[in-house]
Amino acid sequence: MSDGFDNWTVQLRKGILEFCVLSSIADEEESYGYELVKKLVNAPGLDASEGSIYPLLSRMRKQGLIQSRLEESDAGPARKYYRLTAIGKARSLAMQSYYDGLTDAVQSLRNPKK
Amino acid sequence: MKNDHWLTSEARHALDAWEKTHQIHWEREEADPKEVRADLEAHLWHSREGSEAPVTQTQVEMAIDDMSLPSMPVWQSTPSVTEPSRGFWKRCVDSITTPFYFSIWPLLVVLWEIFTGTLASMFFDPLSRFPQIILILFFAILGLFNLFNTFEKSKPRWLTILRGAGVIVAGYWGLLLIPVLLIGSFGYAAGVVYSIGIALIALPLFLLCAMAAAAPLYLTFGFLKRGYPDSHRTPWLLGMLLGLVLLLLVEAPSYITRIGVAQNNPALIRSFGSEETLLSMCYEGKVGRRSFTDTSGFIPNVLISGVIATNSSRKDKSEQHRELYYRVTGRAFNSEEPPHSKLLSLGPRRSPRGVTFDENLGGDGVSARVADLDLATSRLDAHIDSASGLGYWEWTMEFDNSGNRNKEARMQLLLPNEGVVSRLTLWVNGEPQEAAFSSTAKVAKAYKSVAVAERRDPVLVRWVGSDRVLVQCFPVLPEEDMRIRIGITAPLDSDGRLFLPRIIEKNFGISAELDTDIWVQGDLEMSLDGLKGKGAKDMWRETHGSLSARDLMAAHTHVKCSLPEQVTTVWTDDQFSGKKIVRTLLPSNTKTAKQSLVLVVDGSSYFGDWAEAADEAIAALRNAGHEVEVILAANEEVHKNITSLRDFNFSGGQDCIPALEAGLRLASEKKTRHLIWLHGSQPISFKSEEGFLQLLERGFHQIDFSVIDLAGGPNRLLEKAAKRIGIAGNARPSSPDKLSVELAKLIQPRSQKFQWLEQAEAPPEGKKVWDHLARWHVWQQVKEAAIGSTNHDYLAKLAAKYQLVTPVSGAVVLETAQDYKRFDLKQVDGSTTPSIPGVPEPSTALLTLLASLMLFRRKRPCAF
Repeated sequence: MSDGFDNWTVQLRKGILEFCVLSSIADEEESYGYELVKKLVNAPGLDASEGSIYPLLSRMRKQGLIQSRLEESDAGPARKYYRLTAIGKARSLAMQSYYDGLTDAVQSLRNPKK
Repeated sequence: MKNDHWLTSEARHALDAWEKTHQIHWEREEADPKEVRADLEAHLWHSREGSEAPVTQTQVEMAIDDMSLPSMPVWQSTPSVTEPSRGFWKRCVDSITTPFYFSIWPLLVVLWEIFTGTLASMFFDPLSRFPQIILILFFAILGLFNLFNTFEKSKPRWLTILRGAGVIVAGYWGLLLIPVLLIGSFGYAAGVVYSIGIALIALPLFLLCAMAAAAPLYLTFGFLKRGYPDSHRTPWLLGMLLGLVLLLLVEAPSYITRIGVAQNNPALIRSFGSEETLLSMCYEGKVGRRSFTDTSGFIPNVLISGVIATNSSRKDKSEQHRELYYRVTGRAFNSEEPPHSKLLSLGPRRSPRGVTFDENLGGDGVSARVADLDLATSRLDAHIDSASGLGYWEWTMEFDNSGNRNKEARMQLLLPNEGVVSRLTLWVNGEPQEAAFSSTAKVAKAYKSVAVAERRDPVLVRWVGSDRVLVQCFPVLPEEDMRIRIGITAPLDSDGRLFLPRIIEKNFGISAELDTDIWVQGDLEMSLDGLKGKGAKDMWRETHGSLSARDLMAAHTHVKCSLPEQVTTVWTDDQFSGKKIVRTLLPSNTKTAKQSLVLVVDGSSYFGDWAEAADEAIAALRNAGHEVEVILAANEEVHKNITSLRDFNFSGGQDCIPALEAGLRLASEKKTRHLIWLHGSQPISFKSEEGFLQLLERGFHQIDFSVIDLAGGPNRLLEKAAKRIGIAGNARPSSPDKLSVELAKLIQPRSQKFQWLEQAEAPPEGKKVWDHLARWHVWQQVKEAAIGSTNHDYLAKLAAKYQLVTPVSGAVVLETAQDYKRFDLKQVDGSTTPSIPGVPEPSTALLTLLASLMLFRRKRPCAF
């Protein structure tokens, strides 16, 4: 495919990855970081890598969208758990609303009869 | 983290490197690099899925690869993150630590040296040999490739290997140049303390030297700064090993040479050392040239001995090095092109080749090659007279000085067998000036006073022994030529050969393109290999053409004449005594007696070409019934009872004196008549030679000491032996196949004997010949009488009267009539000097007659 399409997919994924992270963390529950990352990496079509997600998690934590907690482990490094903050929840809702509107618009354009 | 051992240290280093590489990207994404690193580490641990084995470097690298792809775009926050503003100095530091300059600086320094030779002229030549230049340029250019990050993404292991090698190679030059860096940095301050004037001039030079010396250190820093990924530790170490090997290949021969010199061990230098370094050492310690020549000489000479070494001790060392050069190579140091800066020779400036300040000016030897002095033209003219069996050469030479100070040209000439210098001319202000002949001491004193002290135009020719003369001309002015002519009278040998004179030692250069123009004429058929021109008119014959001046230096060359039946009686008008000199050929003794002889062979490197022919010649002599004992000087040992010479390995230059002494003792024991030395060049005086000369001089057993000159070249022992004892016979085989014949001729009694008479009247029978007959007769008398005679004054006057350079007399041309008067010398009358007879053309003769008649007609009215 052309460079233009590649660039378009990159831009699209770039915009959507943050929304995916917020969506993957359950509302009132903690998500285990390793599993969260695996889930995102294994999501078909998202094409995300650990190398991209961990820096994103770090930035979102610094921006106050999520918060993390470390739990010491008997062996190996401490486990990290993520939870949405209030700002994160609000951002997640806003993103959801916007994304729904966006997909509807795209759908209506693709199938005008419906 | 309770347990850190789940990750190997190599794996941890790989993670560190990866974090370092990505840190800036994470910062731009507003992520916390430490947090990201910790998250990734935890991720790796959880990925182990309970395995007990520690995570290895390979697994980390694979995980990194998995985690990094596909790469995500950099997050751009709003507002965009602005880089913290950096200060001026930080920007400067950042700028000069850019890899680009690691290579550019050293490359600029190499260019600077090519154009100016600053380091080479002030301290030492950091890149004196081509392998060094190639090595340092390779790594400087490699640094340049790093700049472009050509291979940075793929991180090939070979690049890491080359970086490791670069650290060692550049680091070596960096360490060598640290003294220069220090001198360059602090030398200015020292200059200010001692002399403000010098300091002002020297300031830019000191700074330039410091900057040049810092370049290889900078290059080393560049290679070190690039570092290496943890996974490339082995390639990095391999690279450093490679660097060491490269340095050893390039530098070890030089250091081994210096060790060999310190241990006086020619075998070590011959096997593992560098002839180039040894030659360079022959010129070390010369005033006016850089004192320290190359990388191997700088540190030991400057830091250890150079600071306290006196000028005289350096000169002594040069003498020792020159002796070693001969012992290692078998050649005279001044027969080679002098060492010069290879780097400077790549640029527009001409690299000086030889000493720029000649400390042997007016001395008694040829000594070191002088920079910027060359033979510019060379011309040989000869006339051969068949009846007298004599030839006369005139060799006209011009020297060119392209330097900026006066130079003295010195050379040793090998004359034709039994030849004598009978004319010397110097062109002063375009006019040919003939020489004054007098005792050697007188002409040498005049030359040294006028040349060395007053720096005006003289030329001096002295006999130094066994058909050898020393020629000195001074001054060859800067950007000017000096022209001289040397006349030589010499006999044809029994085979009708007349050898060409030959330069065997010189202190000037001869271009490979320079030809010697040759014209040989006479009243007989003649030929000279290589000459294409040929002509004949009535009884006159000629051959002419040109031969390479260097080729003429390299071998014994002769004109071959077809001798007609020899005239029994010839005579000439002796213009110096007013009498007739009559030579009558006596009946020859054709009886061949069986002879016993001791043959001493100089087994220096040149002899490899002669060994087979020598074996055959010895076998031929033995087959003819002669008793031959062979003693060989080879590989620093004396070998006796030799049956086959070709089995030996001939290398280096031998001290033949122990072998000659052994030969002399053997000859005494066996009552052998002949001691024959087959020799090449022996350009140095060995300390033991006095013992041999004493044996030869005082020995109770009378012996004929003869020599066969196989290779030409200066021979100090032969010079002394010829002066003190005399040489019974000498031969010059022009090629190995002629050796047998020459050897046989030496041991047979002379087949031709002459009776000489001086009388008032011309003999009733006999043929009148040219006056070279008289000169050659006197030369024979003086040569034989000079050995062991105390009446040198009489002989010197006789030789001077006949205008001859002999063991007791020399020739000098001075600039003015006052100079001659001051030194009690008399310039010869131009009408008495020998010359090449012209071949009269009929038209020329007619013109001469007409001109004479016209003069006669014009003069008549004036008479009245």
